[in-house]
Amino acid sequence: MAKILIVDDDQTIGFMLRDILEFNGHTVTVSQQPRKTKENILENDIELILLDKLISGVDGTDVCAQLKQDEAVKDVPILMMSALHNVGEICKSAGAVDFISKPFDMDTLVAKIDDILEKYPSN
Amino acid sequence: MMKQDLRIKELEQELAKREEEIEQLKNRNYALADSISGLKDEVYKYEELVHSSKSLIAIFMGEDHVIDIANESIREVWGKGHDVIGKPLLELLPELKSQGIKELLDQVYQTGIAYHADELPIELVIDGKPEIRYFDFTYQPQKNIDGEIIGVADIATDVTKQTLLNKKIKKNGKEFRELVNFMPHKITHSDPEGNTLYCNQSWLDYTGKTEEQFIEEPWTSLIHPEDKAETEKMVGKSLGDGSEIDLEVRLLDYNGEYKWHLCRATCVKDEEGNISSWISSSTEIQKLKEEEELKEGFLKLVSHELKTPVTSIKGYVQLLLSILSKESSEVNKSVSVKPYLNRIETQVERLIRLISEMLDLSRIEQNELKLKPETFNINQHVEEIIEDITFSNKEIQIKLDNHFECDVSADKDRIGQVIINFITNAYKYSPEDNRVDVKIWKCDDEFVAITVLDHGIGINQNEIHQIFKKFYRVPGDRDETYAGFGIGLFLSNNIIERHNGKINVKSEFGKGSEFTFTLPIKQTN
Repeated sequence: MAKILIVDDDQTIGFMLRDILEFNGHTVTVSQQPRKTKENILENDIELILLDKLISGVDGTDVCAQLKQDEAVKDVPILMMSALHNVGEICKSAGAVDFISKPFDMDTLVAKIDDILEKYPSN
Repeated sequence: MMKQDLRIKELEQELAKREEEIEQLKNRNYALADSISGLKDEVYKYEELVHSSKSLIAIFMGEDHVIDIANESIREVWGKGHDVIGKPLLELLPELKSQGIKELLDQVYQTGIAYHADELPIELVIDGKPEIRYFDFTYQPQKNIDGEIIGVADIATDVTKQTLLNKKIKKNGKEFRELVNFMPHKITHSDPEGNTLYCNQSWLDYTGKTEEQFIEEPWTSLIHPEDKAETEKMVGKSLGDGSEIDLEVRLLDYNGEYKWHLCRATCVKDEEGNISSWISSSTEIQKLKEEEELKEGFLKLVSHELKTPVTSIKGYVQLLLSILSKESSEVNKSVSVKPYLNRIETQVERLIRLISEMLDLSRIEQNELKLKPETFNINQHVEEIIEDITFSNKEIQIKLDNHFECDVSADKDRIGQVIINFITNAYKYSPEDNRVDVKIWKCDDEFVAITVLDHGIGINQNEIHQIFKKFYRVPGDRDETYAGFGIGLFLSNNIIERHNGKINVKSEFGKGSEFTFTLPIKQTN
């Protein structure tokens, strides 16, 4: 089981995701502040990030690209999500390992997360 | 005796001379008779000519303008019989006195100078009623052998019909121009090369130019730089082949602002089929464009905003279902919560589908619906979709027949959307029969076909061509029974067309429907 950070400006979605992931045995931190993602990763020893593409005022792909360029956090895999379902390629080219469109199926989400954790095990 | 003989001889000579003279006189008499007969012929011909002429002919003698000759045509116009001869014209037709006719006749009679008029209106009293007639006519002075003026000939043509027609055309032309100026549309009339000959008031108001400026300056200078190349290309083509022009361009107004216009132009051809001119109409559609963009933006926003709470509800429903299955032994078994949650989930799925349709619709309208083609096995895809549908809806009975197997290159999700749309429609419109048959078969060497058949309410023949229209709903009181926005088939049709496939519908009212779509075969398995 892993330590997961959820970055989404919508608290409802954040809490729902937290509840689902905690039920599946993960430890979850929810953040509504994309600019503080790096601190959050380091503070909470994060192993995977669930990042929303459209966060108020900030483009999630920019956050993703910045993290991928930062030596300290670049290895933490990022799963991006969006209510638009045709932006997967943009997210992946920004450095996300995968993409999921809202509204998603719980089983699909959990499977994707397990898959990523298996492919990118933290040291 | 000598003397007597001489006298006799003289008399004989005299007699012979007389006889010769008589002979000559006889001959002359014959010649005169011939001449008279010839003259009579001439007069007859002349009278025939005058009387049978369609032109109105009369001769008025003396200063009182006494009618000497009046042919049938002129008598008809006057509404009089043969008894007009010998009567002064102005006594016969007193209504002419107040119309300056007497003065004209007097003038010609006195000066010997002919007078000619075109389309002169004259009021005549015909059958007791005043009536205006129009005439082209000449008053020609008539002279005797000594060159003295003895009368006036009137040679006229009744042009009432033509004049009234001309007046009507002129009036129509004027009214038409006023109409064109009154219209909010911008209208031009151009020569075959596209040079403006006329523009209406609306153009002048919009551009702030005078008519001379508008005609002199090339109209292409009004087009937005981004629209110019496309417009010039299309106009160039049309000027060449006479095809109609129909495009949306931004045009510069007097304030220096560009506004969207729908511009249409069509050519006018002469009898030989050559282009003689162009007529164009430009209608401002700026507000429409703005509203359309607003509407699209709003639709996008609404669907996006709706997705957040729906995502949350769906997540919690699934979490609860998951908890229930894991901890089923610990939950109070007397209350069966799971079916309720399943129902909530089904409804949430339906809500999600509707929201997605709305989003797809705005994407199609803004040309943003992008396909992501991949190669996949169509049979397997259909099978998976049927499994998903039957998993969430236990009542539906779907039978799959694979008559043919192949791979296709298509957007897997979008094709899935079409299959789901067909199957859910089949189920939705079959309230009394849950069976849905799905068949995959070879349409021809190039296309695979997927048919979805139901045993439901069917479609009226006159509705079949309507069902692919955006927002089309089955009419009448059935609306409430069959929920939806009327977007599903519109989207399906658009998706299949963009894959170069076709949708075909067969249906019998009250018996069921058969929806088929085709896709190009990538590879046969």
